[in-house]
Amino acid sequence: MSDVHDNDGGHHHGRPASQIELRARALEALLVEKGLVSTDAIDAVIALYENDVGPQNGAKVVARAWVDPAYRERLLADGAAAIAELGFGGAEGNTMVVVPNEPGVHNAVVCTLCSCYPWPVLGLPPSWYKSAPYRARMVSEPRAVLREFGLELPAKTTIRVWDSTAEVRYLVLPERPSETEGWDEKALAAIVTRDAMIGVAVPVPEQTPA
Amino acid sequence: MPALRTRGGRVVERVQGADRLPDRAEYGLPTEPQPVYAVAFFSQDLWGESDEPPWTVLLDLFDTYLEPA
Repeated sequence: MSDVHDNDGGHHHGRPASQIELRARALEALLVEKGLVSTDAIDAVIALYENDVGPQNGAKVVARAWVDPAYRERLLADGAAAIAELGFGGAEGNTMVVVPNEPGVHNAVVCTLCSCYPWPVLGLPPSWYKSAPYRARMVSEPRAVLREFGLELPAKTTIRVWDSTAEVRYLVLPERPSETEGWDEKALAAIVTRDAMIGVAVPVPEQTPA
Repeated sequence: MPALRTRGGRVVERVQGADRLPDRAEYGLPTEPQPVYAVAFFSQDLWGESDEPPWTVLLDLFDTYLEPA
């Protein structure tokens, strides 16, 4: 299997439910029937992560680190504490390690065991992040995976793949593109994508802000 | 991860703090927090020679999982 990112997120209306979807529905029905969870609770969690919590949070963290060297230092020293300064935190974000890209060093994040992911700053993981091919190939052939995402790194760049095998959740701090000199935090945050914070892309300034 | 673990990490990069071992905690068994280390594995050790330039894989490993070098 070569392509790991063609089945990205979102709902797929108008086609038959997959085995996994059927299994999830059956489990949900059973949990509700037994009174272990309410559909309202499930809907509230989904709404929270669909509407309020997502990569826009992480983008604000990255933009702040780009404009404020003291904040960057705090972020690298204690990720969760510095992220909490911006009001973000909670489940799957209690122990955060922020790994900075530097000239010649590129970081990327995977969870080979399952789908561990820093929810408070990135929201819920995209489906490709949870797929077996990404989880296996990101550690065994990261350059090939990054190439499929459109990221061709120089041969001399060191790739560091962080596997979230315990309670630590990782966020990649991308390098600030040199073309963005003078941009404000809001404009900077707009170019920081989810994929850049997972480490399968780098920020690309598409236009200069007015 | 089990396949990687048998082939020997080389460098402890950082101490990540302490956590309860999920192998026991998830089953409600008593467990004291123990150190977790980010251990760097080199691609040549894990997968042998590759056509690609070498890379590093870092795993967060509980103290229990490690043996003295």
